[in-house]
Amino acid sequence: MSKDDVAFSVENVSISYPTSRGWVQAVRDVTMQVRRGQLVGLAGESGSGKSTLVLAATRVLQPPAVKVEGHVQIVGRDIFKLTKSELRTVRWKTFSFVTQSAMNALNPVMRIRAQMHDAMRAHDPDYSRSKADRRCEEVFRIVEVPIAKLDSYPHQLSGGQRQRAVIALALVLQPQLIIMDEPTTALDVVAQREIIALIRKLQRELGFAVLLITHDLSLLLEVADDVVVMYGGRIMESGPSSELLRDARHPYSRALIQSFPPLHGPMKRHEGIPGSPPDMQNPPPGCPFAERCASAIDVCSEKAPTLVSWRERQIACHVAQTDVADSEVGV
Amino acid sequence: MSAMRQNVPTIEPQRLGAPLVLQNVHKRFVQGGRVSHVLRGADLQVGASEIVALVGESGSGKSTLARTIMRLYTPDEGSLMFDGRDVTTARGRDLREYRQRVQMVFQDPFASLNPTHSVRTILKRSLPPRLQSLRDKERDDLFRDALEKVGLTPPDNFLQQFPHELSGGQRQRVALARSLAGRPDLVLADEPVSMLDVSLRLGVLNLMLSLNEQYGIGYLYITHDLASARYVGARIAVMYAGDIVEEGPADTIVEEAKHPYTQLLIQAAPDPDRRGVDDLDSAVFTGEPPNLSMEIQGCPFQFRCPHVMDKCRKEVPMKRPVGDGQLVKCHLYA
Repeated sequence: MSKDDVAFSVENVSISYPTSRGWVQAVRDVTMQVRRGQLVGLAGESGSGKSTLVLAATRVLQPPAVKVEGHVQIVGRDIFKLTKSELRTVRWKTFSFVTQSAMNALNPVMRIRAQMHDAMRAHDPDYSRSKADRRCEEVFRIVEVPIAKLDSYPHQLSGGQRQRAVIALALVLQPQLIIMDEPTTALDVVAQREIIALIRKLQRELGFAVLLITHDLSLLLEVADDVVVMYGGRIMESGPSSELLRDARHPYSRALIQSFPPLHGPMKRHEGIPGSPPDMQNPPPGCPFAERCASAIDVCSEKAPTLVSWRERQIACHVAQTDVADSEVGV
Repeated sequence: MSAMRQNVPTIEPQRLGAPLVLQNVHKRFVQGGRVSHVLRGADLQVGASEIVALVGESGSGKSTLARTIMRLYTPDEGSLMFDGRDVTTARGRDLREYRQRVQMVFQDPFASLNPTHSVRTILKRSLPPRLQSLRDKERDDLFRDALEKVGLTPPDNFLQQFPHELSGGQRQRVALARSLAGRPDLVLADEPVSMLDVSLRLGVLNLMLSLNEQYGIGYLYITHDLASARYVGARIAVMYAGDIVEEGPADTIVEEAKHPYTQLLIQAAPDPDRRGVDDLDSAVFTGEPPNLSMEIQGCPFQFRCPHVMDKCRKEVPMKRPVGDGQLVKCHLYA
């Protein structure tokens, strides 16, 4: 794979927050990629570090609010080496961000058109008023919201329309990567489906890549190309969704998949995952999942496993890595 | 149960559970001169010791229905029967007794527990009057029993804790323990897991299932997630615009949905097994739930329905049986 194929690449990134009790490491040694045109899902529970990862990787969170180590590239640009003015031209034009509870991200006292103009002219001074107007209408057509709504205030739109308007805003300067943090959690199932179908369709037509952050693993397994599963600040397992669905290797990703009751087929009692997620102020020395893991062995609570590549996948698990090695010998 | 505890009250091993029947329930709210007709003739039955899942989008009126059952609201029309008694307009002692037998668990365990109270105080507040006079030791035994039943062990550690010291899953277990202290026959659980982390949800759902199996407590499980509705519910009732549009055995509803709205919900639910089989945009998605402050003539789903006919714009469809225990309100099955 050539470097040009990669829209978003994170290499050995660790992120810590300062607290009154010293540094708390929220993300540890994460490496992942999103290739051009792909939809990659980042799945994890609250506290898994998924939002911290993308906020720091896009420099929304910057020192001294956080301490960041590692490298991040977005479409060939080394994010941590950009100056502030360079960063402004990269944001929105190279990548854009749909934040959590995006429906409420719109300014309630500004018409939507004015908000879109603001964003466009801040990041690309070439846009004249009339050119910006034309572009606004174009993107509204793309996301299938009536153009008249451009002159509405956010409260005059339904939840689904507001979400579409936010996606239109993210699209407006034609970025090659859109990062979406829980874009559909506030929406109903039907509206969620509409939005996901829309994103997929726009990706096919316009070719941008999407990093979709959500806790809804069953949705990702259905629609994403690749899935990255995070827990306790680390990647547990990543790989093509179809592979993970068929044959997840990490005990956590297996248990997480089992946590979603199936919609069809025979119904049997599923066991939940006992215990609760680790306290990140006081992280366990070994694998963050060891305490809740049914297959844990002694080494799991002593030493954190490293992320190892296996076929198209990456796995960080002492037990699964041994299994995988055994099965390779068998082959 | 240990011999030591035999003399103290516990949640009795007797079978709990009593039937609830709602008929033609209407509820209107007036807001700034506008009338929102939120419940529009809802019929619902929850048998003794049965788990019924109530599924619908936000704004469909499912929380209003739960609050009406709880009698936080009084229905404008229709009747509410519990254990053979009419509680539609019950007051005073009768209402207190009813509310003791029917308990509610709210969606947000971060908001439904008083942050300034310890778990012990939270449980104490939920005791029915006749148990308020228990001596402290007996009462604590009762609480320990309830906490053990919801999987908060060892219970002594939890009694003196405050909500902020507990995780979301633990808080929701405290809320469930609180609902048990009054020995309810029926618990209304309004989206009890939607605010919890994925890895904790199944634990809470399994807890509801085992309390149902062991003690016969019935549940009305309110959710927007069809997969979990099928997981816990023996029956599923689908709510749209203030009315139950389809109901039946859980598997029948998911596999042989008759109402176009139920079919839409099933198409929209995430389903990894459909990967690559079904094109994401092959489904027809149009419109949003109707504005309940407008009077709707005919079927409330007509504006989104792919099969809409003339009749749908004129008459509200009647409830009709279409199969084994399956009822649907749709002109297609006239």
